[in-house]
Amino acid sequence: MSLINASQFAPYINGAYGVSVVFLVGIGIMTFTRYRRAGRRLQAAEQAR
Amino acid sequence: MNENVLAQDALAGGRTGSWLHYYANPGRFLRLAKPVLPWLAAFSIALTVTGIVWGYYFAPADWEQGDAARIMYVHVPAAWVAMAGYAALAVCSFFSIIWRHPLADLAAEEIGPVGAGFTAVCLVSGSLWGKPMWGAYWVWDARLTSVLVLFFLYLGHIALIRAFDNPQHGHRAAAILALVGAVNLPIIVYSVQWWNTLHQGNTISITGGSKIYITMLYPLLIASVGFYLCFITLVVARMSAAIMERKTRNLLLAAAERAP
Repeated sequence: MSLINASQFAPYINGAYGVSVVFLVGIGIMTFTRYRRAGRRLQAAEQAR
Repeated sequence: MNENVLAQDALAGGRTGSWLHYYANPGRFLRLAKPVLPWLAAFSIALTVTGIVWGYYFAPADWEQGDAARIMYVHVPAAWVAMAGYAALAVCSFFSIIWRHPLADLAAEEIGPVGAGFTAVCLVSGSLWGKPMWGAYWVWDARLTSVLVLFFLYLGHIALIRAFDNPQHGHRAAAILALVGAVNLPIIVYSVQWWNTLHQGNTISITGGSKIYITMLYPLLIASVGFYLCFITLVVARMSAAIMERKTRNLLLAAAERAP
């Protein structure tokens, strides 16, 4: 296993991976929340019909 | 004779249209997507985590760039997905203009923000790679500039689709922008061959002759498949959510009209 944090490039590598992971996790959570909320609202509207 | 030929052609055209309409039905899409989504999400998370962890910790450092080359395992997949996403956007826009199908408009609307996000990741990670290698976060290089144009095309598409009171007008205008903007895709791909660029040339080729060692190629391919699956999962989930939101709105409107 390499020691990334000992590398002189560590801030750049960690920054690039950090941005990617934050984006993927962030958009994943937002999409999942929207999907769940849309499903619940549709179910409630169909039951109220 | 001629009439028969014309009638056969018309029938064939009709079949093509009905085939497309059969699979592009929003209700049918929702029923197909629901059982597939958990599997898509599981595979995309597993492959993306494997690719990223492999690239960050276990892949060998580059002989020339050292550990900085590890940025490749997020930068390259993000770039590929950004371009593939725009190609998908252009295909949906083509279907929207030719067949005027609402599912194509819906897909284009949901692809835009996801594709813009991946393009932003590509630009930021590329900039963080450029600083230690070139001594600058940004240069007006042909590859970098054409990807920045791609990002602006995505932003323009997102804005244009929502810029009209009548959503159909927005979808039509955005579809034209997406189709015109597709000319940027070959420019991005061939920019490193057509101009002298600071950005390195293509390392991986489908036709063979990849200039990357296998211990670096495997994590890169796994991360790339993971990113592609993430993109597909996100777009399918967003399209499903949008269909459910529209159904809910229609049900609530119908209920409001029935109310005394």
